[in-house]
Amino acid sequence: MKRFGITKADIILFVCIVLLGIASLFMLIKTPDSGSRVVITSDGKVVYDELLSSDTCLDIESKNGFNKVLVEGRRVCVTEADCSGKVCVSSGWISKEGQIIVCAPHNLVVSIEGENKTGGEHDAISY
Amino acid sequence: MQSPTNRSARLSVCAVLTALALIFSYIEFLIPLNLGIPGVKLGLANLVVIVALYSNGALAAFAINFVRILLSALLFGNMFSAIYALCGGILSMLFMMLLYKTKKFSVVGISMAGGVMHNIGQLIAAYFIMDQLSIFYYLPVLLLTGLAAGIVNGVLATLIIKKVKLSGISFRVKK
Repeated sequence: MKRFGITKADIILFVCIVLLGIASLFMLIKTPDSGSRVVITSDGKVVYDELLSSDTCLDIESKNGFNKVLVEGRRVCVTEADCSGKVCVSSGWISKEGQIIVCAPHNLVVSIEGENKTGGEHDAISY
Repeated sequence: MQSPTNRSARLSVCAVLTALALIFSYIEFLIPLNLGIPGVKLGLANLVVIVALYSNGALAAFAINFVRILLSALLFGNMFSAIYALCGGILSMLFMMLLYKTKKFSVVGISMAGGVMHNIGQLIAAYFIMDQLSIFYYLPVLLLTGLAAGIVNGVLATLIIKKVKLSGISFRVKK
């Protein structure tokens, strides 16, 4: 501790961030319902909105790039993408309401939504 | 007033540090560190920025970070990655400069704030670009990983700053 010259202010800052992290964890996470619809938004426009139960494989192409989205067995994942970080591919499968996969460089959002919600509108944050 | 030689020396030190920061960005882009959490990286470029903050002052550190972000977006990213990087970079830079000016925080503390604010800046950018409130579901993860990355960088930066002082090499150009 002394070696790195940790000050009192550092420790206060550290504790504040950890507390904020834990608080936001409890605020945001509640047991989510299994979702029912897959909504894909590319460049701010909804390009796909179908039931989660209908298996399909989609090629989403926009001026920003290409993503392949797979819907299978009531879950969704991005299987291929030509973006730089491949964060969307490594995000893996999602299946619960409110979960999302984001491909930031392509401005693509794959989200799972409940029965009575319209794309992009949320009354509260679930999950 | 600074003499022309000093100004040139300052400029070249900043240029070298910018190049170094850019190389770190490139290394992280080439070899993504997979820690099981998608999108999380150490942010080694911030190491250079922190060392620059202590050796060359706030303005130089800001300039180095700004040029580094623009160049790396131009070379390895697209428009969106540029917006994300700029939001994260500028917010973290402002907080680090602010904490540096208070003189109450150590290198580790400043690096911690930088890491966390970088992630928060990117999250805010993501919210405005995607218009998805559920993006804030990443907040706890980003807060805690930003904190961890900040501590690692801060410890490394402390060691580097000490070594630089011991070796007698000074980046700082006399006014």
